[in-house]
Amino acid sequence: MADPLSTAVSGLLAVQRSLATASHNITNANTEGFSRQRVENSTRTPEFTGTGYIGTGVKTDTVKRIFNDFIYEQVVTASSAFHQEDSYVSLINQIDNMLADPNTGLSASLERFFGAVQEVADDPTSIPARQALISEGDALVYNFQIFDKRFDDINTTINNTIESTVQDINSLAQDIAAVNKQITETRGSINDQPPNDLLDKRNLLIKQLSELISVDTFEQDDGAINVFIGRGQSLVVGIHAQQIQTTRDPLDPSRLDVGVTLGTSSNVNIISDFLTGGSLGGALSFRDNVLDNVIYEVGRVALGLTTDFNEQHRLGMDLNSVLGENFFNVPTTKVIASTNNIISSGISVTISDVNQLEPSDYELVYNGSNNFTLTRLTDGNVTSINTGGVYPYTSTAIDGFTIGITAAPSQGDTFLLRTTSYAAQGVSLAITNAQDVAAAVPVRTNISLNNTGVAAIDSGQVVDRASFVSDTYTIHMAAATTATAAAPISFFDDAPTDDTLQYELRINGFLVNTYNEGDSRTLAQLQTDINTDTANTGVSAYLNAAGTTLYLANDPATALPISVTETFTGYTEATDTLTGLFGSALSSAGDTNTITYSSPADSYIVLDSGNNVEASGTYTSGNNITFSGIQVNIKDAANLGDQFTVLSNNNGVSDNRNALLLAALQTNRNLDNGNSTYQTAYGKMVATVGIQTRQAEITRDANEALLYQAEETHSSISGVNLDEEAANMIKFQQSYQAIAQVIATTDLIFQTLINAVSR
Amino acid sequence: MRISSSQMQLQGLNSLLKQQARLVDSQMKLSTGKKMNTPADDPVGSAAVLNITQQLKIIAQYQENAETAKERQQLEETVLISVENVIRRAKVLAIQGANSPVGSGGRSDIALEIRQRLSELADLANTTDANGEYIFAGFQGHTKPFTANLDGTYTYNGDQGQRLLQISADRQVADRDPGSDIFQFIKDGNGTFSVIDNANNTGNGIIHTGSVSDITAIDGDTYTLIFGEDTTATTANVGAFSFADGAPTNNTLVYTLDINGTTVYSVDDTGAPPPVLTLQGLADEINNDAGTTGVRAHVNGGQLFLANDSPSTGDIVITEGFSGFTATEGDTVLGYFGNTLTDTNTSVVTTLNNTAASNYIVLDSSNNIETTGTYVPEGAITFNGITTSVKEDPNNGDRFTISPSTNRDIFRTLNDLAKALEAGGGTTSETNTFNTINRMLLELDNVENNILTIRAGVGGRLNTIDDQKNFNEDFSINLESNRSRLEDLNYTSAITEFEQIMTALQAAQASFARIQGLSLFNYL
Repeated sequence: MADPLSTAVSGLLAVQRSLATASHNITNANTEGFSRQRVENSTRTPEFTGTGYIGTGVKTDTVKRIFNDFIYEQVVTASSAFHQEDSYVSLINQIDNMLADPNTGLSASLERFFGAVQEVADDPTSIPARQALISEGDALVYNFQIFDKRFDDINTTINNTIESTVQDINSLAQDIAAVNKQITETRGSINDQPPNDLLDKRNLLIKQLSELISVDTFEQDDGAINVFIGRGQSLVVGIHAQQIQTTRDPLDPSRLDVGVTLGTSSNVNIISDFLTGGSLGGALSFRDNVLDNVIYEVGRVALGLTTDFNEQHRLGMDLNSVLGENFFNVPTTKVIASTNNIISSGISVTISDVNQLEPSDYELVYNGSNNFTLTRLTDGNVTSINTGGVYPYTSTAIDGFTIGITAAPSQGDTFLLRTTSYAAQGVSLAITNAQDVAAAVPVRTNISLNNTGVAAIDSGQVVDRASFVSDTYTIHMAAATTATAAAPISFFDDAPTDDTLQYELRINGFLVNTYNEGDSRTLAQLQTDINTDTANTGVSAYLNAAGTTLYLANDPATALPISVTETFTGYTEATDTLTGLFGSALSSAGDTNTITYSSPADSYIVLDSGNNVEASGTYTSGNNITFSGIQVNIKDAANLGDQFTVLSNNNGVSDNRNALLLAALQTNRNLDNGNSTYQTAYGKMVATVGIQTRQAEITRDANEALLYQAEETHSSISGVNLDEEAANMIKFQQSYQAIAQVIATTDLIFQTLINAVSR
Repeated sequence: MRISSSQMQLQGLNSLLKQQARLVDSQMKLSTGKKMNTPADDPVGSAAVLNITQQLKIIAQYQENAETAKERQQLEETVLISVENVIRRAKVLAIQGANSPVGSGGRSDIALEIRQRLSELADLANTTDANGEYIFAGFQGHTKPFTANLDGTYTYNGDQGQRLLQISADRQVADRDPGSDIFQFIKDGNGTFSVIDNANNTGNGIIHTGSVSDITAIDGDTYTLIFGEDTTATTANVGAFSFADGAPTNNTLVYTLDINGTTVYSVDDTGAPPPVLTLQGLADEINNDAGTTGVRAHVNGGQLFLANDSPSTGDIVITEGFSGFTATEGDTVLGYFGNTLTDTNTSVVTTLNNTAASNYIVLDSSNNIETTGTYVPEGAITFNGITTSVKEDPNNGDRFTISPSTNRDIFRTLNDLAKALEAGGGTTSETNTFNTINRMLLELDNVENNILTIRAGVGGRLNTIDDQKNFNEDFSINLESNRSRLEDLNYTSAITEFEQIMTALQAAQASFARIQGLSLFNYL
């Protein structure tokens, strides 16, 4: 039977529950992860009477958590994305600020260094200027090292981040597994009511995890949530948590990676490359996309500058007239074998041309069958190398370096070729003594005082230290002749018995020699013949190194032409003929021929102090003449016999030519295949980092907005509104008062009835 | 839309934080005065600024180099002016020395001053700069460039190196000249050829330094101008040489030709040796004995030209002799010099006076005759593009050499001048002294011209440096303004922005406090 009292009591109970829940909501209004709860009521089973169903009051079905899984998923995703960018930005800002500082940036110290080179060029005998150059060189090297140290510090920061994040992830994973356990247990027991606060707790844990790394979740039927990271790597499965761990990079032990061990295997699988999102993803992404590139570029600038500077410095001459030595110590390239390798040696790298270097390190993997794969780490560009089975093997130049392989390693062996990244830390100053700065060029030139032509010679320079020999060289300006060797001299005697054919050679009218039938002459012999009479003819002969071309020059120099007269005598028959050593075809019809060589000289020949021929060739005004590692340039018209001397620049203390060439390195485009100077390469990198920073900041701000939006949406659904709760409380209070009134009324009715009956 | 209480609070807070961050950023810009405080603020702009800053530093360095170069040019110019003064003084002295009335005593006084000037010049050539570097030693700044030899000449120990300084990216300027260019590379004579008298000339012929009449005809050979006499030995006379023997069987006629008492040639009518038939043959015969006679013959067109082989005071005595004849037979010989010798005229002596030569010839280095002529004082002697002249009276055998110009150093010129003045009145003739002084005056002109040329070069470089400095200056200003545009803050707009953010922050703060104060619980 419907009992108003019991109906009312059910109402009182329901209202009390609602008030308790409101109170729970109010007190947890600021609890992180809390979702507001609502009591769900329904009518009790009505009583059937003949007149119909009579309601029996209210009953509380459940306490419901107001929560939208889909929206919360968005919060988790956005949080992951935001924290990735946030950690990326905070790391890249460190580099950005370092590069930007006008006083500590590399640019300023490069400028000061080259400024000091110019000061030496201005005043090459000044010891203070030279000392200043060494000091600035020291500062530059120190700056490279400081940069490297900073990169190292940032790397350590990243390592620490990885270490602590992995710990946090593991601990969160365990917490989630524990909550999973609680939830599945409660599920199984009483009435299947939702453990609202546990669910909130688990959601919160997942969100905290997503701040560290991007996660995928999947809810099992029993209410447990499975958590995956990376590419499906399970972190939580049901009530079990899988541990991840940090491990050293096999190619670079200074770096930590994230790995997992699978099953009972002791092998650690590295999963760093698959991890994205969260602060861990941000740190890893920064390390791969920013830090490495910056290290490569700074290394390349260090390597390029020091190598080029050394090269030029070694072509110079110091204050003690000694050839320049290295100015910087350039570290040798490092090859690091993976700790997983079976064979860890036998690979070497030699830089062949810094101009070709790419700002990157490389990974070399042996695929077996003499095949190697070389991967450029910055862009993944792959080069295949096949040694053809011949060891030791040296590759052709790739990006400005060659790889030497002494023997095939084991298949799968991997090597890291640190072509540029090692450089900044390893450079140091090789020079300590101010006297040793090679500001001069080891050669100088003189125009002979006796020259009659107008030809001028530049001051010369050494272009190849290895073949340079210090000596006094004389460049003779001469005429190339058509003289050829003859064995025997080409007489044709029609009737040998009745005459003796003769050939007379005159130079400038002086009889140099008479040759008879059967005589033969090499060009060297002809040269000797001519030079024996130099005092009479005023002409010297020279022979090129191959002995194929005879040159004539006035000796001493005059502007006069040289005449070579070939005469045929002693013939009787008209058919007798002679071809002279200089090519004249002579016969009785024309028994003499004069060949005239006039200035300007068409050839040059270079002799060393021992009269050995060093070079010879056709003289073209303004073309370089190179010999013994020396290059000179002669221009304008030279007369036959004009001479230039190229000699050791002993005592050339005031010479600044090499300093000028060193200073020119600042503005020469010696990097990037001739596209960048050291400073523009550095500047490009600063701009790139700047752009990356700006992009990251923009992305971070966008992700932050997305996160706020998702959180707002989530909060608008699940968050507690105190005014709402206050209003609910008023509602519940009024409801309670009304129900209490029902009980009072019931009591009044009952009293009325009692009073009526008891009368 | 439903809003949760914590969300409302969070939102208010976030907007406050955001405004604060903007305010800090804005304040940072105001305090540094720069729009860009990290490359991220303007990546492209910051790369450009880096580039511009580098360029500015380099230009500043170029300016410094230019200033150094300028100072060095000025030092060089000062020294060159002193050199010029020394040369001018030497010229005045030389002209005094060329004045006959001064006499040998006066000349040696002048020589004394020339010597002093010479050592003054050497000091100038060995000038050092503030660093103690010799400025005229080429690359060898620590090597004393000019050192004196015992004979009064100077040796150059420097080299031809010329140091350059970088005054712009593609312009280098020399900061000095090597001593060789200033003191050594001075073409003597008139720059194309030089004339020099033979030290042994006995006449007082003074040769003009000459000029180039046709540059294309100049062939670079060395010529000798020889004074002597045309003789009566001509092609016709040589061809007419003959004996007339009245009775060939009883005697052998002999013709002898003596020069200065030495028989250079004799021939008899038996034909042993056969008579020479050409003028050249006769000249060869005479020249065969040139060592003994001191006389050399040259064939001058159709005439035989005789001159003392080296200048000498001796006359040339030509004696044609006739012997072996039998008197009264009417034997005669028609000699090479056109004389008919008979039994009564057995010899003819022709004396070519050593004074006042009447003819000259010019020989090239192969002894080919280039030109000949009758000597006229100050008359032009022209051959192969060369024109010169001789005045006063050259003697027979006096000679002058005309050779292509060579480099002659300034010290040698002054030394030679001093020597000439010192030698005046000695064994060498005064004519020789005057000839030398004349020549040295020309050389001093050449020196002066060379110094002027070098000074013009210095001036040109100074102009170049000034132009470049101005250009660098303009370029710097340009770059500065570019950099300023890229990185400097516009304070007006920055302060306005700062004020705006301040206002926004204040509004956010005020509204936050008011909103947080609203709660239904206040009314319960």
